[in-house]
Amino acid sequence: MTFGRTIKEKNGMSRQTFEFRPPSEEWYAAALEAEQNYTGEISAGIPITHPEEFVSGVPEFVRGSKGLSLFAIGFGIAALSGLILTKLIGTKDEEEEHSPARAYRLGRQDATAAGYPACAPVREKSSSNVVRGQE
Amino acid sequence: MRPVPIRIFDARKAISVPAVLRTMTIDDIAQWETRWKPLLDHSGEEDSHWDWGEKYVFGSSRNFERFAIEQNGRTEGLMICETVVHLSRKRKLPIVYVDYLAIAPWNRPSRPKPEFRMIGSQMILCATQLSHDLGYKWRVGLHSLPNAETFYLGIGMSDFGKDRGYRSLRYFEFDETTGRRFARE
Repeated sequence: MTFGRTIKEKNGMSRQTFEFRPPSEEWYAAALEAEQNYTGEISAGIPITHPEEFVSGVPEFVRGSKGLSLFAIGFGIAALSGLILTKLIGTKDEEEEHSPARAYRLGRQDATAAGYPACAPVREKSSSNVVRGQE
Repeated sequence: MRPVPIRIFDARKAISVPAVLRTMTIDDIAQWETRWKPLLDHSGEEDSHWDWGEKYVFGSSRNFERFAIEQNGRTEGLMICETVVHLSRKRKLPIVYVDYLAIAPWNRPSRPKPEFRMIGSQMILCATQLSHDLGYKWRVGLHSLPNAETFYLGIGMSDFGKDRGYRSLRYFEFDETTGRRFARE
């Protein structure tokens, strides 16, 4: 990114200092002959078959050469990774929601908050409540 | 860049007429909107979907140079060059990359009676001179629209074939030798 700019600054070039030098008679005559023999178009850029190229928000330099492909692939990988991670974390939470370990932890916290010693067998309290309720 | 007097060829009268090559301005975009676009819309031409207004804004970054050719107050050609990011295919050296180049619809050889010629050629000459002044030794690259490929071959650019990384457009390049030869320097 900086290489060209460095050269530009080293040469004292800027948008203001570049000046087109009109071609010589010889050049003009040769180019005119070539153009008069030519019957096609004179365009460079992106063809009409790909109007989706013009996505707002994509920097111009990203479009150049392989930039767009790399940008799209990078973006795709990042999005996919995010999706997979979200799914994994979500699944884990869901599994944990009903796991004995989670119930134990919650019970232990509740018990601690209620003044029970941290090492108290809180599952017994929980299970005994369930048993009583069922009865 | 200050406006530089040039000549373009009036194909109907078969004479050279004065014109100006200068930096693109918002007036050129207005002319594209009012004069070019109605002729290009639904024309089926390969560049008919190009939005020069958008390109003008994108091209305001430091690494772009924007040019226009004007004749008698009318915009006849537009070009945007990128000067920092792109590298030559052979030796990975910096080049001037012609991002977009188009001539006015009424000048196109595909039209029944094109008005002016020598617009595209002088735009490419401008790109090679810019390359030289930047220290890039006349190196210029571009991706050609399919219908323009023979033009770039005709002026001596090397054909690097279809670029799968760029919509499968053919990539053309002037190296130090061919660019200099084209510019006749």
